[in-house]
Amino acid sequence: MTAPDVIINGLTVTYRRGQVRALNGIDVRFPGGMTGLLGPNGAGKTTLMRVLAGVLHPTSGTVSIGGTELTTPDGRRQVKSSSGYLPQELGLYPDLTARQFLDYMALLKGIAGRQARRDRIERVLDLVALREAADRKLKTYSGGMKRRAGIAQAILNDPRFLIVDEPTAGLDPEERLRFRSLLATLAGDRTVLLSTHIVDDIVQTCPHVVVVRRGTIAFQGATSRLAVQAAGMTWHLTRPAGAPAPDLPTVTVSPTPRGIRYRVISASPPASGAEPAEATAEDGYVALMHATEAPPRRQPPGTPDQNVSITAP
Amino acid sequence: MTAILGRPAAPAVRHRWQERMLGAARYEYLMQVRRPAVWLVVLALTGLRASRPWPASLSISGTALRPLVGDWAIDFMMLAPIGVGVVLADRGRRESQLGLGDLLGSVPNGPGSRWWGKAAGATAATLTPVACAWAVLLGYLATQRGAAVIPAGIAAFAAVILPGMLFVAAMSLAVPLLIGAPLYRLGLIGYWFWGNLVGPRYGIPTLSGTPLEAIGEYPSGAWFGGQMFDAADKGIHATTADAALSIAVLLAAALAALAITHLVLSKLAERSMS
Amino acid sequence: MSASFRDRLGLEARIAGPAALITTLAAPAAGALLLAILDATGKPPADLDRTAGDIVGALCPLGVAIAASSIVGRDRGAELVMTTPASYRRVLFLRAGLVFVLGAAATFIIAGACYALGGWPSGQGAAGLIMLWAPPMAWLTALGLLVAVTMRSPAAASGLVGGIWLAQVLLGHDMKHNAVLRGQYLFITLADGFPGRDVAITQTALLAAGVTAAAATGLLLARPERLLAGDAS
Repeated sequence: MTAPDVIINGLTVTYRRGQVRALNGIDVRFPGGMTGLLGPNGAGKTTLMRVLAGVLHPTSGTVSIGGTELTTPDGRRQVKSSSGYLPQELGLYPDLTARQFLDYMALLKGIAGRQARRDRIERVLDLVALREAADRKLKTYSGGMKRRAGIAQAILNDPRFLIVDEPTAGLDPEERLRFRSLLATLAGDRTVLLSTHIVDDIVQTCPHVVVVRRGTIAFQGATSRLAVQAAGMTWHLTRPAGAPAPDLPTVTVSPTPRGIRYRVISASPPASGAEPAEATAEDGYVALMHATEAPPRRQPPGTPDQNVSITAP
Repeated sequence: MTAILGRPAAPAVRHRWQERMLGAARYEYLMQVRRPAVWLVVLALTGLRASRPWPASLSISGTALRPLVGDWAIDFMMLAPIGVGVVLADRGRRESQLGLGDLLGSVPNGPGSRWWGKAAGATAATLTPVACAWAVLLGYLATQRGAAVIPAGIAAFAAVILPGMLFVAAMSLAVPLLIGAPLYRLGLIGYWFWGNLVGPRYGIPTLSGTPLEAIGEYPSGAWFGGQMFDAADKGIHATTADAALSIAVLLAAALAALAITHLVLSKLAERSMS
Repeated sequence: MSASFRDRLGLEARIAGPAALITTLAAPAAGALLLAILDATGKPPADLDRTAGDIVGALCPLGVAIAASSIVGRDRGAELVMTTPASYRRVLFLRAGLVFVLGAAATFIIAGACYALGGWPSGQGAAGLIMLWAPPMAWLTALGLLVAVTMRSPAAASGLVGGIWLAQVLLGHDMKHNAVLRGQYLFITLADGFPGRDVAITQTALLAAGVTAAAATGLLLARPERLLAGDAS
């Protein structure tokens, strides 16, 4: 079975009787494998994920997952049967044990037969390393353990399409690395959409990335092309401590013996003494968020455009 | 951001209990008064009773002024306290349900000022619809009977309505912490019926007709000449002392419920820190 | 009943929570205790019979309605459940139905015990073992669920259900003797002096209103994501 393509056309989601436009007619395609979803708070990432998970109805537009439209009740049911979702705010039943919680989710996902369910639960508990704690109530779990319980329920039905929203939020570094490798393992023959604020997680695990800004798509393409958005626009600028910060998009701020060192994005040298730096994906992301225009460059004929859909139509 | 980090001295921190309590009361008021359920439930129940006021002989033009406001106050008290109690029943546990326990536990001061602030603010907010409905009624009565009804009406609100409402409010904040909101709500309706509406004529022991009842029958009868029903069944005609005793019992019980809860919350907070 | 469905019922009961389950049993349990105390204190049999009728026909429906509506808006896993193929509408109805059936079963047991011990209201007969409490219980529960789902607030549901219950107790005389209002009088079966036909019409009207309210709740739950917005009140 191949990983399903996710194709979104003209997707709009509005709230409060149209007063808030969370997603504004977006067109995007997620291929098989892992795709990262980046964007600031309020950009529309979680709204997009909830639409794909079948929780929210779009106001207009179409969403197709593996050829099945999400706009009909039957289509939604079919998609839900083969997808898994780990939401950003993971609501768990505190008085259930992990095993009971997974049993409940397995029942709702339609995994037939008590023995088949239990076998599946044991395999999933092993995968997320929760077997030993499986009979403890969820309210006794640490944050990382809750997240693992969350990913466990998402993969119970062996989903072809997996949506994970901020999966590493609040995890310690070791947990984060474990999550990354778990997701990379799962992405083999699935479509995995990973939403996060942590650019490094995307860089390490996702060959493709979509950047959302104010309900629209600011970038979709290879993750390696994200840095290109800030090529020639990344600078290091040092100012004495106490001096006002530069009025420019700032990627990092770090104190040094010579003063405060700012890594900024600017189309032209921001000040005399500014040192150019090699752009990273994080710089590219910041450039996109501040819609910083690259300086005009001469491109040889035949060079492909940088902002392209991941898969050409 | 650099400007904030470069600040030369930390801000002054004051630990005055009253300030914290009033601050908590203000925000609890704002959070509660914005709930549509508070207005819907309280006004609906008040309106339901007012649609068929009691006693049957109650007439805006025919009844004397003070008995008029006294009987209307009792009408308000027949159902509205149910509304007040059910919408307050979930406020006590709200912080733990919202996951705010750790955050609030990390502030330098104990739970006391927050608890009394919650009691004051949430209660005031929940009584706001009652006060608004009462003001509308007084306004209407004033157009029919003149402005003299207003001071009598304010006195009736303070003496007949407020003590029972404060009692119900305090119990509704404190008791659900022990038994949960759903069971409390059922118990409140059962208590209100048994303790305030089921008189001795039904042949079962009841608080109705005694100074322990919360419906305000004693102040209404003693100070406003309102019709007494359950007490009258027992042959009791309330005096000023009876009315004062009734109010004192209700307010003391309310205070005791809140104070005991404060003690328990403080002990629990201390235990979690040791 | 398949093993999976049994497992599902058990888990739904856990998720409904002890608060709802205890509340649905509280009225029958308290009623049984009260009857035992009154009997021990020598209350006349006619009064005991009437009290039994009041407990079964009035108090128990209130308890079940408050308990069933308390499960709305408290589902921490609602968003996850909505991502599964299972209909959230069915999940909620199943959970509320569990609470309802538990309370109904306890009420039936109390009624049966009173009937068997000869402490049953005269004129009710064996039919009253169900019809005394089922129509008001269905009506109040359906109303409670509708309000809870509409307002996303168990508090609003309890308040309106309790207030209407108490108002009917207080305004019963007017309702009984009004041909229109009588159709929604919860306690018609407990009232004296009405022919069986009037009682049957009211019971049918109560059940029909309950079904209508439940259908309206079902329609609202066609878009269950509205419950994710949290307590609107």
